[in-house]
Amino acid sequence: MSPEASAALQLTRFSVVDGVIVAIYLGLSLAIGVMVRRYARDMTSYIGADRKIGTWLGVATMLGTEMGLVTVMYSAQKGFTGGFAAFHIALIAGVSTLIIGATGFIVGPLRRARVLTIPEYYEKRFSRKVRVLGGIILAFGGILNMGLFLKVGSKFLVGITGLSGEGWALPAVMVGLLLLVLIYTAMGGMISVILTDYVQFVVLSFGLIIATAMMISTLGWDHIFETTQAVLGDKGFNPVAEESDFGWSYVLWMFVTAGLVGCAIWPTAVSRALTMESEKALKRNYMVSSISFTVRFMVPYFWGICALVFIQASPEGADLKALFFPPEGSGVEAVDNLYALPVFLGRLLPPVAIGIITAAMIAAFMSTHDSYFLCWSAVITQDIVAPLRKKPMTQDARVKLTRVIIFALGAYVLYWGLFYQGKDDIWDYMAVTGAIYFNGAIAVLIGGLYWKKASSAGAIAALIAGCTAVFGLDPVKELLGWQRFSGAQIGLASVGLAAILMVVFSLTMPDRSNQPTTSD
Amino acid sequence: MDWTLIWKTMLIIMLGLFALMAVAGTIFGAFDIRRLLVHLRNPEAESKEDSED
Repeated sequence: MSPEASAALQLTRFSVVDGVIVAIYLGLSLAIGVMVRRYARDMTSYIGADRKIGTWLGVATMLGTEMGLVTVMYSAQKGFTGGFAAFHIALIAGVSTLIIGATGFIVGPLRRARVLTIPEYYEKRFSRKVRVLGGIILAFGGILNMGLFLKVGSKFLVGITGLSGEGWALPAVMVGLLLLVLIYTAMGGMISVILTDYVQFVVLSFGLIIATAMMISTLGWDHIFETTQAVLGDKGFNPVAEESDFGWSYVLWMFVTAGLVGCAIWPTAVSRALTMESEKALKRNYMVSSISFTVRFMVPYFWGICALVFIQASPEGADLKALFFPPEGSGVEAVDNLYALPVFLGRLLPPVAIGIITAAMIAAFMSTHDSYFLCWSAVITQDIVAPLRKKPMTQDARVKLTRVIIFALGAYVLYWGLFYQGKDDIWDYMAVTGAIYFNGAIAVLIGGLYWKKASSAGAIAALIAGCTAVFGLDPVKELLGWQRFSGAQIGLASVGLAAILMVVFSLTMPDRSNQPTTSD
Repeated sequence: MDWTLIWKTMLIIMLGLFALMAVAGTIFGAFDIRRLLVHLRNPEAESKEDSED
């Protein structure tokens, strides 16, 4: 980063008072998480909170989990580049969650099956082989998926607090945050996660509302829309406009990823469904959460749009225009637009408000990390290690192993966050790594739950076929000469292939006896 | 199709609903936490599980 860019990023209003607000919030989270550790008696309480989560607590923890700092950052980036046209993703996510809530599609029968993880359902419905394979693919895709969380989170902190990205301070802060999450997650498991998620929900919700209101009052409601129109034109509003960054195949792909997968297939969301106290509470939770599934995309898109307006058409952001949009042919490299949102927030918000928003974003960071750590470690213990052992594992041994894996995952995230020097195409990276799991899981879950003839051979073929999502990664596309296909097109083809193989293998290689799932 | 009007309307409605949800989630979520903690302190007291299923 150039000295001019570094200097511009340090012009923030973040003060000591804001640091104190953040410290108080972090202390509160740690205290709650540690206090409830004595309630984690066995695996049902450790990874399922005894299945005693009420509707509103479920709503709170769902928002906390699914609205991570990484979601805020890449969504703001999408709003910054795509304008209001990106809102179609939020609309799809909200409507899909509402439909899932009204019908109980996938999540209802899963809750009735009384499983703790998705691969556990694979064994109940198909076989142990499907469970282990599904667990390996799920853990592999999911752990890769969270690899860039720390890196993206650190960019946010650099932008909003003015911390130098070059010295030791930033790594120290990130390691501290990570350790804090690891300690309370490992100690109290899902109970810690749920209770800290509640605190994070309160801070995050009111932080989002306050920041959005301040943006509108500072920039002006009409001015935001007019400037977007002037800068981006029709493609800033119409997602299927000819020159749009999105297009029909992208919109269709969003029905799969942001719609169906986001609320009904993605393990961290489903693990919340499995902790609900009843199916009725689960459905109510999803219907109310359709609001947060919309807002978790819509608000960051709007923030990204406001950052664009601030940089393009506000006197206070004039110095940033040359950094983010250098004139063509000037030879100057544009600053990474992931910094646009935090820099904008750092300049817009007054002291105290900036502390609250920073605490809210750290809340988003922590509540996603804790759920992901717990989810993947539980899958490794329950669905890979335990089924492969000859001797049954005790409950105590499972809890201990899950705790060890949580710390191992923390070390991995730290390695990727601090030392990995890959390219920063966040959304593509996350979509593809996530799709390694969910492209196959869509066919296996829907087939298993709603088609009596679905067989173990079909499930295994679908899970393996889902891994073809990896062909959507840019380096792999370049290797194969497939650059003419978009990631969305490859993703859709992969979903289709998994579904076809599920049907073909199930019909040609049926199981000897199929058990109806809902009676499990 | 007036996309600007669609997104403006969606933004206003969803922000309003989200504000209501934040208030309701804060209040009723606290009650849910109290119930959860009561259960966790005496797990044996509640043998009848998932009565609503």
